[in-house]
Amino acid sequence: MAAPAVSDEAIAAFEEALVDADPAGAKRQLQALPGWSVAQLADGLVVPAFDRLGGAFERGEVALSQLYIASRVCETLLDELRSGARPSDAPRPRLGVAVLEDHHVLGKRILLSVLRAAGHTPIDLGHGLGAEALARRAREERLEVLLVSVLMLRSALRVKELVAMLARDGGPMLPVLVGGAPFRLDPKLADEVHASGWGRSATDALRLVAEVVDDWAGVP
Amino acid sequence: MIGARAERLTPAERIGCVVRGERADRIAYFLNAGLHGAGLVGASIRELFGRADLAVEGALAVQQRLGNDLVTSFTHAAGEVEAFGGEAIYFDDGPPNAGAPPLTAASLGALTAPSLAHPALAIRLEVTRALVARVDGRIPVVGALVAPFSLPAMQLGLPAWFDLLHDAPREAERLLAVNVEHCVAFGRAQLAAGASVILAFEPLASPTMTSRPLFRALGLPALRRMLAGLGGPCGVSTASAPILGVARELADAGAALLYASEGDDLAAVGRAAGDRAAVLGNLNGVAMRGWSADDVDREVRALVARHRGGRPVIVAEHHGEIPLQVPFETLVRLAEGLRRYGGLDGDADA
Ligand code: B12
Repeated sequence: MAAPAVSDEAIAAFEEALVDADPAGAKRQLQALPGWSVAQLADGLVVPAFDRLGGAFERGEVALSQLYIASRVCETLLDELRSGARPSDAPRPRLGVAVLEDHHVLGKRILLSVLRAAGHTPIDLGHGLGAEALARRAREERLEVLLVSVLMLRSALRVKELVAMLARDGGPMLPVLVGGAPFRLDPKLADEVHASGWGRSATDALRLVAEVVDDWAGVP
Repeated sequence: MIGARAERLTPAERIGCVVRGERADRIAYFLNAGLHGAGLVGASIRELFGRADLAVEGALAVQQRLGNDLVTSFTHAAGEVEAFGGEAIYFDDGPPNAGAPPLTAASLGALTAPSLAHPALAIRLEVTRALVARVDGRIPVVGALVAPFSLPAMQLGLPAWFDLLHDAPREAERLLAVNVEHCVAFGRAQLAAGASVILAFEPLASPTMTSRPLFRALGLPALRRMLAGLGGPCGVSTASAPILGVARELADAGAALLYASEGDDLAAVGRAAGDRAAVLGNLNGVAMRGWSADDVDREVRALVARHRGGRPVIVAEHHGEIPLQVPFETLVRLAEGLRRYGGLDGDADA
């Protein structure tokens, strides 16, 4: 069921509490919507708040440390609400998140928190995986969307290999969404390595995943 | 061998001009392609950074081919976490990376600064001494270290460091105190080995990386103590994260050089630095990989035009290390263009 509309003020107040690392304040905003299911809170409040946070991060108004803490606070809050609640029956794609080649895990950590807070149940495939190992793991887990984070340029360039392997192995088409510093520093890179999409901020993952799902809905 | 050609000023004299805010004979530049040194001396990256003699030959080969006005004894940041019990993972096609973080929040109580005799630190001092001997005062040698507030990104990993800063600032302060002690000792030893200046990598000082209250409460005081303790000139690099928002505070704290990022307005960073710090920057190394010859020429024209106008800066890649995937010919063309057209006294025209 679609979430009823939440006022811009409520979203802004929720976002502000997250940026200030104020779990109590964030909780008050959630409680100000009594009777809402967790899924409705996620879609109506959490997703738009992350969208605003991503924009603020992009404009340099919110620092990475704040984005990370905000995602952590939000994930914990929503986890609390979900425990005991009936799992959402909204269809969710099978998501996997991994760090290709690299050992830099912060990007993945933020991705996981953001996705979980929004109601996804992403599988953490770990870090330091080569293209071949990651392609294999993605198939074993029967993923429908693979999100890849990297920090080093050499790792970003390996995405091309990963995509080629997934295209060759005869499995169903698996969109690969990417992000990390090299993609921010060279916006042409994502196309060059044949990624299905890329984001400047981990919060963009919500929009990117939604776009992939919308594309499926369009397939007869 | 661009660097072998005779010029009016030595690199040291040219850099001296920039530091004093004076015009030199031409644009000063530092295309730091340390990783490319491996290919130039026929070694792997692991060999290059594992043997002081090769590291020196690599650094000098890059300087000679590109005619850089600076040379550095920096090899890889991950070496500094090896001294704290971590490991460096080597690759053939990129810089070494730190492996699993060696420290946890629980292990900080017993932590002490590592000995400078640790092989990962000792080799950097050896490289510094040898480089200094080889350049004989003609080229400033830049030492380097990962600064106190950013080093925990490798010691603990960034998520655990942000958790600690946020949840247990007193514990974070304890780690910062050890890191200040280490950075002061390592930096002083590099200066004693003859380095002209130390470059401290402190990306977590950037407003895009940490909130200002966090930085001002914990990061800036540690950096100030380090800068005061070094007893010699030290620059600050934010490793290509924007620096403008913190440039004035860094200059106030005593930074002698500021590394501007692609996204920074160079002139504004210069104004914030005033006459206290010289500015380096702000070429985007990752994007350079895709530059055609025309792109290089366009970039040279833009750099020359900008330099004719404003206060001199040292043209450099904004992170401090050009990715190996940037073709060396691109760098040679860039260096040649800067030399041919970068005369500041109007004797050469673009
Ligand atoms: C802080 C920093 C450091 C610190 C700490 C690094 C660390 N984490 O361990 C220090 C000083 C130690 C350091 C060292 C090095 N660094 Co450094 N560093 C940076 C800096 C400034 C930020 C990196 C960071 O950790 N960001 C945090 C993460 C979370 O940010 P992010 O990846 O951008 O993620 C955000 C988005 O991109 C997005 N995102 C991420 N993944 C995904 C995935 C999806 C699907 C989506 C949608 C979005 C998304 O979400 C995040 C925010 O919401 C960058 C430059 C920059 N401007 O970003 C260079 C940078 C990462 N470093 C770089 C390099 C090379 C190094 C060294 C190898 C240098 C050397 N020779 O030693 C070492 C390696 C250190 C190590 N750990 O092994 C390069 C890497 C690219 C390249 N040239 O190959 C960069 C990009 C600098 C540059 N301009 O070239 N570094």
